[in-house]
Order: sequence, then C-alpha cells, then structure tokens
Amino acid sequence: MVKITIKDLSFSYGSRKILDDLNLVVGDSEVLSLVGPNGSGKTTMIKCIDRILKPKGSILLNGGRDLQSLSRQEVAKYIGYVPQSTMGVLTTTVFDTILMGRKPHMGWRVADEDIDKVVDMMKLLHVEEFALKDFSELSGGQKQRVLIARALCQEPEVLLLDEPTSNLDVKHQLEALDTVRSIVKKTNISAVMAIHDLNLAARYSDTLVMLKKGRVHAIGDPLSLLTKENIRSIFGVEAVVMKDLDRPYVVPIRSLKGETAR
Amino acid sequence: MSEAETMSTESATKNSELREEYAQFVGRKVLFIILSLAGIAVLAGVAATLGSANITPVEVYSAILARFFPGHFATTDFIDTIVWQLRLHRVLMGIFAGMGLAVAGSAMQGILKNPLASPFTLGIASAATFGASLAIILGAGFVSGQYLIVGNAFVFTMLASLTVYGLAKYKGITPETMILAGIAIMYLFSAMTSFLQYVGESEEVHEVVFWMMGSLGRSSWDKVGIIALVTVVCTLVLMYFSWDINALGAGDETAKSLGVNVEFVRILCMMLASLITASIICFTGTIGFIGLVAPHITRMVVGGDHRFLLPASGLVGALILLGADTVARTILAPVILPVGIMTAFLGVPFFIYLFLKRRKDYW
Repeated sequence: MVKITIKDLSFSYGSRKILDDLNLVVGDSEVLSLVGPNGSGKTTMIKCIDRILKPKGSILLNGGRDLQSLSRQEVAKYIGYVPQSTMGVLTTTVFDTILMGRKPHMGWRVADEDIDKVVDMMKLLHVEEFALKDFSELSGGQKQRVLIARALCQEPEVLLLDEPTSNLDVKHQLEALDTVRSIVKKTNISAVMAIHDLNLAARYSDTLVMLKKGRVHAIGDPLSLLTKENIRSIFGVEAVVMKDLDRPYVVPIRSLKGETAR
Repeated sequence: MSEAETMSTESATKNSELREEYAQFVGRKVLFIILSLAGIAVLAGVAATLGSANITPVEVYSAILARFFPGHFATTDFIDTIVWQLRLHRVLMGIFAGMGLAVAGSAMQGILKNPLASPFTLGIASAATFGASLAIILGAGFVSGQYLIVGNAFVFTMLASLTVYGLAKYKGITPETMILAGIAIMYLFSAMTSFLQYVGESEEVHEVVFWMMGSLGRSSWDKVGIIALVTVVCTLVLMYFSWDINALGAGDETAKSLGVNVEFVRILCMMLASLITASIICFTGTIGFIGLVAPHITRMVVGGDHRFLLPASGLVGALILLGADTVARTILAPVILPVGIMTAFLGVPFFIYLFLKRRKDYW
C-alpha cells in the first residue's frame, strides 16, 4: 500500500532552486532514507513534506487528498516531525515536551487519554524515568528519544526524521535507528529520514533515495543502489563497496578532487 | 499469576505512578497560584493600612467588606473615605499594573524565546516617553485636554509596536527580526525625546523626567477600571493561546510541525502584550523590571508551561509592584518615592543573584 505520493515537488529560495521536480512514493511500514552530499536537498525535502517550507507540487495522501490543501493542524495529525536535537533556552520537563505532541488533538485542557498516550510513548521509548526532569538536562541520545516520543504522540501516519543520528555516539546511533525501525515494522507508520551515514542508511532502510543537486539521482533498495559508480557520481568519492554481509558496506577511499559532484 | 500477568500488573502500576506524579506536578502549580492570590489579599490590606492616617488592618478590611455586606461589617465615614477614596484605588492600580506588566513580559519572553525580553524590548517604553514629552514640552498630541499626555503615550506606544511589526514582516517574523527592529525603534524614539528635552524649558524637562520614573501617584478609580479591563481580557486571550506559545518555545519549525500558525500567534501575542503595556504605562509612566523579574521568579517555581506561567507571573508581578509601591510610600515618609525607582532597586540585586547562582546555561 502507498502511504504518500510526492509529485513534481519543487522548492526555491528566491531564484536558487533547491528541489527540482521530485517524484517519490512512500509505502506502508517502509523506512525510506534520503542520502546525498551536503546541499543536495535532503533536509529541505523533509521540511517540504511537512510543509514547514512551502513547496510547489503535490503531496498526495493515500485517500487522494493533497497535503498542500490541508490546514497546519490537519497536517500535524498526519505527519510527525523529529527535528535535529535542538535545545530551547526556556525550560520544559520531558513530560511537557512529549505532551506537546498531543497539540493537534487536544484542546486547552489535557484529557486523561492525552496523559495515557504520553505515558505509553514514554515507556515505548524508555524515557519514563526522566518524566519530570528538564529536557535540556538530558544526553543527546535521551533527547532524541524524547523527540521521537513527541512525534509519535501526534499519532502520525508518517514520521519524518532530520539527521536522527547527528550528535550521537555509535551506540546511540544504533539504538535510535533500531527504535525507529522497530516502531515502523510493528505499526503501520512509515518513516522518511535524511541521513548522512551511508552504512547506517543501508542497514536500517528498505529504500534509499539518492539526491543530487535537488533531483533524484537513483531510487532502490540499498543493495542495488550502493555501488561504486553511484557513490562516485553523487559524492565525488572513490569507495569500496563490500557486499559479503547481508547489507552493503561502504568504505570511502579518497575524494576525487575536481570531479566532485556539487 | 503467570509471568506475563505479573509484568502487565507491574506496568499498570508504573502507569498510574507516572500519572500520579504528573498530577502532583500540576497540583503544585495550582497551589502556587492560590498562595499568590492569598498573598495579594494580605499585602493589599497591609498596603491600605500604611500611610499618614493611622488605621489598623482590621479597620481596613472592615471598611472594604462593609461596602459589599453593609449589614455585617461596620465602619466610620472617616475610615471609609481614607480607604476607598485615597488608598484602595492606588493599591488596585498596583495590583493590576503589576499583573499586566508581568503577563506582557512572560508572553514576550515566550514568543521571542528570550528570557531577557520584556514589553520594553520592542522600544515601547521610549515610544511612550516620546509621546508624553511631546505633550508636556510642545503641547502637541492626538487628543486634547487632561488626557493629552495619556493619549499621546498610548498612541505612540501602539505606533512603535506596529512599526516593529511592519519591519519584521518585511524580513520574516522571527525573534531576531523583531528584537532588531525593536532596538532600532527604541533608539529612534529616545533620540527624539532627547531632542525635545534639549529644546524644552527646564520645568518641562523636569516634568518629563518625573513622568519617566513611573508612579502610581496618579491613580484613580476610572484608570484602575481601564487597566483592569484591558489586563484581564488580554491575559485571558493570551492564556487561550498557551499551547501555541509553549510550542513556539520548541522552535519555529517544531511549532509548525505541531500545527501552530507561527507568525499569526507571534504577532497576536506581541500586539496583546503591547496593548496591555501601553494601557498601563500611559497612566503610570515607565515602570521597568516587573516584566522581566516576575516571569523569571515564576518560571523557577512553576516551570515553562504558559497555561500556568502566564497567570502565576501576573500574580507575582502584582505582589512585586504592590510591595515596591508600599515600600516607596513608607521608606522615606512623608516623601513618596516614584515606584519605578523602587522596582529598579529591587530588580538589580535579583539579577545579580541570578547571575551568581545560576549553574545551568539556560533558564
């Protein structure tokens, strides 16, 4: 089943085109990763899908409705966004941070079911012991889990993650992506993430989308997509791709100066 | 019991524990609000007791209650006059002005995500001062008669907010653009005020300086009425948008992804905060620090949820301004100091305390 269909998506900052006629289909319970060099449009793509930015083109839900024609509140019920771990200046507890995810569903008063949902999500992401701690006192990995819990409280159909592994050490990178993948596989939610690390992307994604200068360079499963040629062409890097594990593994060798893709 | 059953019972206990913990967390905030209300009631009585005519707190409360329940409480004409015509409106002016300035402050800090923001960040104080100076020195203004100074201060304050809005709108409404536009407006109006003071007569300049210090001395029942009405209505509207302000605190992008119309909420809250501030300082002159200090103290106790932070900091602001005015009236009696001087003196040690004690690099 198809979850969202992105048609002819374009976005420009002034006259500078960032995304150029992108077409993409995200299926049910699919983890889809956007990979590509800096400036290829990964993060912009994530923000366009959530309408944080205002792109041209259409983002069709599986009922045929266009996300572009919905109010912010309705979009928020359909799409959950996990930003790169940010730190606010003003204090909030972990509980209140996650409760914010109920914003699209609740009124001024917090209903019991909202509290229940928050408690469930805290347990799912193992952050219940920090419930009344200040969000800014948490470690990077804990913050990431809290932000995922908040997005899940929106009860979204699609989870968008912007560089979910940046600022995390190796262990927490694996844990964060394990969590995302297991949630996607257990529920009907799909995940779209912008991610730098090709090996993590290969390990945790069903589909990779290679972006180059705001266009789709190639789409496919990790095994067929991560080839020496593709990596050379989008990153300008000579690499060895090892395929003896069940997932491909990329070892970059050297940068091809003068041939860089950007 | 099977292992699975044990586990599910355990997790149910855990759930209700967490729920209980959160209920207590909310309960503490409500308790703080109730205690603040009680504090205001007591302080108001004390404030109405202190003054050149010696009356006791019991006489003050009887005089107040006698108007509401004439059969049950007795008072004399003398005490009734002192309390109702001389002191009570000033006390209430302190309460509502303090409340309004503090609510405006916490709303501004919320939407600008800056703990050092206040209604005055947008150049409102200098615009009000310019409006008042224009009236005092040149006698020019938008209205005439006894409301010339008040009208001018109000109009220029709102003009400053609209200009900040216009400038920010041009570049995108973010905290940064609003603060920069506010600083530009602030310098513009203070330069114009300086110019007026330069050309003004010394008596007029003295009057301007006195106006700038901020005082509750010009209070009256109709002014209290206006301030109370604007403050209460605007506070309720701001509280209605509490969740949106909370979401803004998590960043504009996150707020948008949670369904908040970021620019609309930011502008609406800024305009409401400006309106509250304008309607207060046009009567009192500029009273600083309340809008900065009260939200700080309150945030340390009730946390950052604006559903509680807005009303609670309003009450704390009322306590501070009423307390400061009471001290200003009595410390050098019979000389009455302008309350603006007192709030500044109270504000500075508080900030030094924060500066020394704060271990975290956030608020």
